[in-house]
Amino acid sequence: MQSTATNLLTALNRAPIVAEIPANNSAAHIATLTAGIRAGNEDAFRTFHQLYFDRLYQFLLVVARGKEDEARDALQETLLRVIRYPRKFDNEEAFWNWLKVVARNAARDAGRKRHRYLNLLQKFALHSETHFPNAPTNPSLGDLLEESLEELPADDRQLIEAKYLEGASVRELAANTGLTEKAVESLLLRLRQRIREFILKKLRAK
Amino acid sequence: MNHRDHEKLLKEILPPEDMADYRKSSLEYGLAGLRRERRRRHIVRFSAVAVVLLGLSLGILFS
Repeated sequence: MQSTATNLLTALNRAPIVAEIPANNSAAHIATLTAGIRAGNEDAFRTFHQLYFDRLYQFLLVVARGKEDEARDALQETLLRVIRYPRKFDNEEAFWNWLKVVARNAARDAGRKRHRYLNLLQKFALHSETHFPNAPTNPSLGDLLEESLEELPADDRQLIEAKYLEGASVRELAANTGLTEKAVESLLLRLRQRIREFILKKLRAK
Repeated sequence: MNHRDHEKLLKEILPPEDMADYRKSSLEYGLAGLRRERRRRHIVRFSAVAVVLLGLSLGILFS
């Protein structure tokens, strides 16, 4: 179990996402993609957005310690910085490392702005404990995912795994569990919300 | 479960309910930024050429 968490960290933080990039040649694809963004090509930006949106969001959610609004603002700022200061890369790992630096800086700058604003508010005797901490160096989404899954009853966990990892359809799950399809959908929604809340709560508490 | 499975699961679980709307607006926002940046670069290039031409014209005029 621990090793899967470690693997997730690797996936989020270090490993290239070769499998998500068209299989022709990832290095060539990254070179074309980054050159396209640099040239202001909209299709290149669309592809970049499609490939990296989720990954950047997850990364920033950890950096912002589960504060979704801050992660969203930082993501928008990251996209603008990628457009404003584009660079050409020949391999995915270097590109992702650069993106992480850009994203972290965007989050930190937003945090500083917020911090200055809060200081100003405090001068006027308004109280706020909100602050933007420095980005953690080791995202722990993997551990939290593992923890949240362990919290679930075995049946629920199996249902989540069957649906999202094994790719079972709602109809198949309904047949296996003896529930109606609607009940399975509703149960999956509740379970997703439960896991998500668990992860965000833990991130905010850190 | 391997790390790619986890990634898949996190993708399903972490995004909030309105993620599709947010993703769409984020793309539009990015594309608008891209167009702005392209316009800015055109203006910078055009201005640089204009300044050079103006300098040359003035040089020729007063030489």
